[in-house]
Amino acid sequence: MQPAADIPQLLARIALRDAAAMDTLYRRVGGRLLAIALRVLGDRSQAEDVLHEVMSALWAQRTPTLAAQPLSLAWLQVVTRNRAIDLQRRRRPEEPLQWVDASGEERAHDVASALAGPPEQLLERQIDARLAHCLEGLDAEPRRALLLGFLDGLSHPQISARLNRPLGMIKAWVRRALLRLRTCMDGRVEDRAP
Amino acid sequence: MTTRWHDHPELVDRLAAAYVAGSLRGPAARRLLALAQRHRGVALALADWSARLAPLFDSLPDVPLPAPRWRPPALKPPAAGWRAWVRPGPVLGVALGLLLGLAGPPLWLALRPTAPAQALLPESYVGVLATADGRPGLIVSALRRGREMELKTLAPINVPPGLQAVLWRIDKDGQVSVVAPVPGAGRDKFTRLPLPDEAERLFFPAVELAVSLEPEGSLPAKPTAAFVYRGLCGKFWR
Repeated sequence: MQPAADIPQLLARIALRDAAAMDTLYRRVGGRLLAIALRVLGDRSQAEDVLHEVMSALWAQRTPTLAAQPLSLAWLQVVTRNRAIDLQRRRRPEEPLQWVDASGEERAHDVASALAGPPEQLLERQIDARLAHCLEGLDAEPRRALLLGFLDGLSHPQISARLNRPLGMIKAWVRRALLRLRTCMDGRVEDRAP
Repeated sequence: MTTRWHDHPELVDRLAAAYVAGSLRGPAARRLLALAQRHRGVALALADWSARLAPLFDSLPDVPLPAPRWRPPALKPPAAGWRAWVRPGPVLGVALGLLLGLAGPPLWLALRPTAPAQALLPESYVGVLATADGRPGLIVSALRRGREMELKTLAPINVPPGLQAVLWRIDKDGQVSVVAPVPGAGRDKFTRLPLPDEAERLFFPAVELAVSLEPEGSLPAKPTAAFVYRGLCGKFWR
């Protein structure tokens, strides 16, 4: 995806019914939004449906807004991921797309090869340096639990089943991981419990 | 005294983090999202967490795009010249109808052979703006050489705390420029406000006027939110 420096301007122009800005935005970020949906759904056709829904809502100014906040690419990506989760739950709420087989190896249903596999492998691609550094500071399993929820759209029960860990542990891991990420990314001094 | 959960910043932050991380689901998630559309603290928390975690999406390789499937009528290129005033669409149709309804009788009188040479109304700019769902919403008027404008709210809107209505002008090329904050627009029946410059200079380039809700105390160069009113701006003089 091209640099996101002018995405806010494109989003502002779209709010003014600028069709050219809409076309430009689609070309710039559509591939990423489609990838987000595809990672959750594992189905190209359904992911395209989600992309279409998100872009149509954006044009019709029906994207969920945040009071006094300009629409951002970050929020649009979260909205896309959540739309994909909603579609997945309506389709087959409990069937996992990926699972760990008896030998402990990850398996996936028909997910495009570039997007399949454990979420940690995706982090081998370049992401924000600060976020990458803060993620490295998390323990491996809590990090995996966080990524399975964020990127794969798995619920806590699904993560619990995937990692074969108690539900309460998963919830605690994710909650603490988010707190540690915030502390790290905001440059705060971490307050570690004894 | 009843304590509301969204009065507790740490709790708001935790819920916002869970929402963005994908952990918060179902009715709780829907309630949080609904509140975020009117509560600045919740909205800011969601925006902050989105900004923190969204770079994780950069780990996903882009997928080749299909041809776009959205092609609403509004994507047609803007019409040129006089056709821009009568292009289809319920919002503009209402605005044009109202403009003609307002200006029609004086114009008809002015066109009668025995009518006086001047129009009955003083030279004025008149904007007739509709709501997003096509209802008559707001009338904006200013004497051509005046430095005040008057607004009449036809369809009130909810202006959340911390936000203010801001008036914009849209020229024939679609360029948007700020006119002025218009506190009271959408809330009070009639509002009279000073203009930062003579109406002729502010409104002459305008083909349309629009109103958006922006953070109080700020006057952005471009709208940061969707328009809540929008419509034609007419020049009423011979």
